[in-house]
Amino acid sequence: MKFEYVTATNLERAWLNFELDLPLEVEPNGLPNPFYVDRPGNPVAELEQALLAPFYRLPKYFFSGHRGCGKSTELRRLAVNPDICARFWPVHFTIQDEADINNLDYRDVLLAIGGQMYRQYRAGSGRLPKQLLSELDQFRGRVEKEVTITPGRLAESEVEAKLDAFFAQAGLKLKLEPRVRTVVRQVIEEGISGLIELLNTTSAAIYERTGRWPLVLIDDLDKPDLGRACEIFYDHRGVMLQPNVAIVYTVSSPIFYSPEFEAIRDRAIFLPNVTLHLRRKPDERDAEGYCTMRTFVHKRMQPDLIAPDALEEVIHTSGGVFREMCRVMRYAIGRARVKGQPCVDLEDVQRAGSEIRNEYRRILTLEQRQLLAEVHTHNRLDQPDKLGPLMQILAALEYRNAENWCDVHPALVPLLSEERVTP
Amino acid sequence: MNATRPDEPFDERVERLKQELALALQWDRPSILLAVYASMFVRADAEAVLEVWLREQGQAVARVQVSGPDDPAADVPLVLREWPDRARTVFFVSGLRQGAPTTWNALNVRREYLVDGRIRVVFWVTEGEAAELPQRAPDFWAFRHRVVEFVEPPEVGRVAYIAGELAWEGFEERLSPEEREARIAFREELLSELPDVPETAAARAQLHYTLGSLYFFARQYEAVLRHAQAACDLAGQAGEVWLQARALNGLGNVYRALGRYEEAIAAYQRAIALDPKDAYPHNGLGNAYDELGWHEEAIAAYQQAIILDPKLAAPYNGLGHVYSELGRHEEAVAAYRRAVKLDPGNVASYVRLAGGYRHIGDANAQARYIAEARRLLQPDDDYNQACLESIAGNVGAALEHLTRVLEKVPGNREWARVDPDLAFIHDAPRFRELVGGGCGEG
Repeated sequence: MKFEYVTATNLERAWLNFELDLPLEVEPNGLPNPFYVDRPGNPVAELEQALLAPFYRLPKYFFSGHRGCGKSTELRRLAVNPDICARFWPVHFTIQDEADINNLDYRDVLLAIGGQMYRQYRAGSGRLPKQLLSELDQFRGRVEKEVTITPGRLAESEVEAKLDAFFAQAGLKLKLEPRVRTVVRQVIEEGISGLIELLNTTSAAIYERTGRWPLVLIDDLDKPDLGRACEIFYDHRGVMLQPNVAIVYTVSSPIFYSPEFEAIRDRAIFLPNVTLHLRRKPDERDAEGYCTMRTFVHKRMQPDLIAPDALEEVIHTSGGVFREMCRVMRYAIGRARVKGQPCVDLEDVQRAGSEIRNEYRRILTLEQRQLLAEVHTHNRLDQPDKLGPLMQILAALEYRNAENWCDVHPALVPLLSEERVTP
Repeated sequence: MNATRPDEPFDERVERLKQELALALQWDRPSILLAVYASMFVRADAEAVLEVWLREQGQAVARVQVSGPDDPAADVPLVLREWPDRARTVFFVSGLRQGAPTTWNALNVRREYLVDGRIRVVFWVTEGEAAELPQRAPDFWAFRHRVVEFVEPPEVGRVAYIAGELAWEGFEERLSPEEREARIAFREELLSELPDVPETAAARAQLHYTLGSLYFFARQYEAVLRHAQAACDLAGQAGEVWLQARALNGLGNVYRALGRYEEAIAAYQRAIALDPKDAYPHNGLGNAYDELGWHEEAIAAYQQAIILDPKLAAPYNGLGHVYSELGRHEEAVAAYRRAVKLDPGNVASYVRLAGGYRHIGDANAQARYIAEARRLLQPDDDYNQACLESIAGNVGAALEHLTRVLEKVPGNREWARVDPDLAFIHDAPRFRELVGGGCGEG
């Protein structure tokens, strides 16, 4: 069943529209997805500007943000942005299609970049120079000397066909077959500069033929665990920045906040949550933030399906995190449906908040509650080693306006006084 | 965390799971539900209600129990994605901690399989697993669609029928209710009169321990927990290591009776650490492992109990039960024969021995032990009566007793489903009506 992005006129449909991880694909005509909501001071605009600025070396950026903040959606939009497309030839993909993220290595990422550039260019009926094809075929030959990627025999003259088959199969084999993974990595390791050179030449060839530089947008690189991400982005940072290709890597928020990331932070863009109040002024609502979240709801369901006071409560409880907004809405819709109501009322939302609170009650230690109580009082973004895990589970939420600050997930605030915690 | 009664009724919480699944089925979308439980019995009740409803919706239920980190099922998302006919299947997954770290890693890294594959799954997690999940698999946790808690203790009177002997060793279970009440009242009064000073610690520990046993047989588990814990603490203060270990063993027994296996196993292990030569906690561990379906661990625990006390019948009964479950009926018969010899008054051993002989096709021995069991069996012991009639081939009578048991204690449906002594009535449609689907795909 294909998903239709239509505004709900009843709660059953609304439940569907608030699915937590609904991908917001851009419309075929390039228009934004009907459910897409732009955010105030969208930092993606900053990324767009950075990519469009004059450069000596093709830019590399790191795109980060907390869970559920809309990174994938923004990356999709970037890939079809007309200004970006005028200058770059976008190659957008998820690393999950190319490698096993449970066992990801920097060499897998480089090969994925090369493979996707080749395949997407070929898919658009592009033809690469003969010499480059010959060099790519030599690389293929080095790999296939050790391990078979493309079963069956192709005539000697069919270099493109061989390469098409090779790059079509390589990702799948790397993902599923550990032996292939080991051998391919070994071949790459032995000639890493050769692979980088091939990436650079392919990039230049595409530029030469299209007048646009390839811009590789890799989604889901924030999914591997911290150890693997460190191995890729710290230990092999130099190699990852080397290809003469414009690249946007997604990175997880723990990586973004780690001290080692300091050196490349000027190349990083962070997608924050929507600010709902000013720092240390929890009662002063950020009207723009509330408006954004209200629009988010109204794009997905008709306004008469939720009482006005309930909507304000949903926004407050969401903490300005889009995924949390969906969660609260779904819980509240469930409550309303059980009662046979045609719309969501304030009590449904309050019960949804209790449900979320219960989920965290068993998780948070006394020490963490104490830290959250402090955070709620001063809104300071410090003690990253202790706050990191709390941000990871969205118990603490980060905001950015004039400065960076954080607060406790609004649903959890009543928990902080349960254990007689004193800040 | 102690099991507490939530303010929302059981039925409403099950309804929430149903509603999430109903909408996911209606729209053909994924559903990732977490059901947190403290007692295996309460979980069994919730599963049973949900399963009946899912069948009415035309859905099959497939249970995926992870048994260890090397178990292929530990890669839960991959297993579910590859499952044939997953569009018509709702999965009940459990054993996440047993499969750690593979389960945590797989869930974290391959969580999108669940969403992309539009998989509908209920993860049955203990309170410990629920607390660990966000730390060990934070990305997966962020994907959860709904969390519903079933952390209340089971109804009074819920107790496992298998391998339950020696639940509180050294005490008589079959006291009349009046006699038990009197004994409890007397000891409670005595306890209240003893001053809270160090020199009374050992005496109070003993009283608490005895009260724990009396309440255990009265099925008043909250009181048992309170007294067993007090006995344990006071015995520790008084330096009575043996009593402290026994109190921990008692705690293990009550946690097991409540289906809180993680806590039961921890209590038995603490008892073993304090008194490594005591056979009872090993037997208790064996029972807990057996009830969890961890057969190899159960066999090892029972064998250790036998090494420590070869005259104890209970571990032989336990061993017999595990072997029966594994289809190793010759070994089961040998174990039950030993149990009968060591404890000739235990009717359950005769019933099981008769069942073992039926499985290996020795009709004479089967008849002999059926007769012996009939002689000893109490008329109101419906569960053992059901087993005995099943073994004897009296399907109607077996089902009649089983119906009575399940009316009184619906949660025993799970046990009935897997009990080898009831295997002889599995084909009866009424049996399936009573206990629901099989253990694998339902």
